[in-house]
Amino acid sequence: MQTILEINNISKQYRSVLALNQVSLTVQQGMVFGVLGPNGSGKTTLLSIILSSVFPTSGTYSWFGSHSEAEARKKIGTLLEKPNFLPNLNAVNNLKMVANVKGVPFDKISDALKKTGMYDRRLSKFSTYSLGMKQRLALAAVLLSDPEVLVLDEPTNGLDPQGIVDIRNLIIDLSKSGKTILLASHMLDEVEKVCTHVAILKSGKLVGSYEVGTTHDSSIKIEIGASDMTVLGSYLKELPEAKDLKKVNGYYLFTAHTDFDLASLNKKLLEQGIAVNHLRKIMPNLESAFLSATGGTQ
Amino acid sequence: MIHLLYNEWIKASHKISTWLMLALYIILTPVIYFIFQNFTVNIQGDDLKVAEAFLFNIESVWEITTFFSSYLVWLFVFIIVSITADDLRHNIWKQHVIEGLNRNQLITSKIVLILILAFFGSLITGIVACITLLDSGVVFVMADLKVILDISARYFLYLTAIMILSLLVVILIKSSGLTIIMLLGWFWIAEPIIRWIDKSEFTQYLFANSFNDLITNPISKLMELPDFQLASEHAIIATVVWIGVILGLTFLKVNKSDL
Repeated sequence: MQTILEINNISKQYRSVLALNQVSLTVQQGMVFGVLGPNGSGKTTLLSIILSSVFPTSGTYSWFGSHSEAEARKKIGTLLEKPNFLPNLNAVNNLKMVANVKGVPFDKISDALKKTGMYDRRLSKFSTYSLGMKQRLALAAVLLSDPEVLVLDEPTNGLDPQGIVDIRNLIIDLSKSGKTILLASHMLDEVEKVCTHVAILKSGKLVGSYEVGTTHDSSIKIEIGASDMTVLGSYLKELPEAKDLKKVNGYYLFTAHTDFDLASLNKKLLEQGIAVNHLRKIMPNLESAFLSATGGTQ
Repeated sequence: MIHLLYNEWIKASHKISTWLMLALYIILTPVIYFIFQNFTVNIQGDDLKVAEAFLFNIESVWEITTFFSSYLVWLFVFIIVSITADDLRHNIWKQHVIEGLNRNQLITSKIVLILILAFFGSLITGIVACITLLDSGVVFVMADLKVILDISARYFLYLTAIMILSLLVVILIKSSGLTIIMLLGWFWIAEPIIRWIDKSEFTQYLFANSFNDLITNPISKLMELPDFQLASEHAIIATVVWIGVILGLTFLKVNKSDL
């Protein structure tokens, strides 16, 4: 599998603020790679660096294994949180500028506008568009050059529910067609729904990297209740596999390794005369992985 | 480069201010010259129009038109500053870089636009001078061609230098209004004050004076007043050096800063 993007130990310092701290990532062809992190975690800075609009303080990156940056960027489509177009120009003229930079013939502009539902408003000034329309125009700019890679920075921010669904479906469609996608977002469900891989950033540091849909974490949570909670509590305190034991909503909750055997636990408790009336295994998901990595609480 | 220039054309041609500034230049260049020609001066008790009082030849006509047109350079500065400030305010440079341009191309396309505007300005001024010559019946001889080319080249260099300076200032300040105020403040207030305080040769080579001295002051020349200007070759060399320094700083700033 071809390596599309390789980031090696990138750091970015803004005066006293360390926005990125030694971040390394590798994105392979066909991945939908999510960069997840709370606001201010360095996601946009990381994307700005790999798109050459911001210089790293240290570290390197390479697209498509080459160092010819400008040519590499022509193969990349970007959809940013705030689309950058000239407000006094209409959609056609704004796209003509994009086509000129990308080296794409102008006759592709109509198709891109039709695909994104912007054709009827093609002659209106950009300043008259709603945020959703602005994003659609940015999408048209992306589709214009049929890029191999898409870089999306919080693409659904500020969009209405239909706009969010449209963008999400587009990401899924593009990934099915073999495009490599790099998506920065602070929205867990967005990342979980569309991404194949995810990296978690916190305060500029990479704190986790997972494949979505597989176990992100080597631990699971067990929720357990019994008719006699005092005896159950005493037993669990002595159980070496039960970590972080606490009482939540009338049940005991503890962390155990993913291969922890519930049937065996139930059997042992019965042997101790403890009648279990509630037993639930909570599988780790992206949310728990994210919270565990960023130190948040559920 | 052609496609980048086409982008500059799209940006410039869709701004009303661009057309307004160009129209003002085309209108004001002959109007100012016409007003000057009809200005009355008192010579030995007689009130005479300038055109009647002095013997006009090709050189003086060309010098007068370029001298008065040079005050209109700010119209071109406004075009460059306004387009560049728009690019910076709306993150168009950042977007162009993301889409695949390198930073040197951003500057180069602006420099080419400046050269085109400077050529346009020189051409209009030249056309006005030609019309005036036809009207006054001055006879053209081939030797005059060298004079015309020399004055026009210095005017072209003057326009180019001031626009390139304005490009650097707007990149640093990112505000069109403030850039023009600062440039006007420097050219008309700050540098004249510095030169008034410090009359050494060094201050003669400050950039505003170097640029201004490319344009011969025809009034001093006609009135046979003492000439305080730099010699033409010195002004040309100083301006070329300043252009080099300003361009160097511009490329350095754009290549070393985050967008």
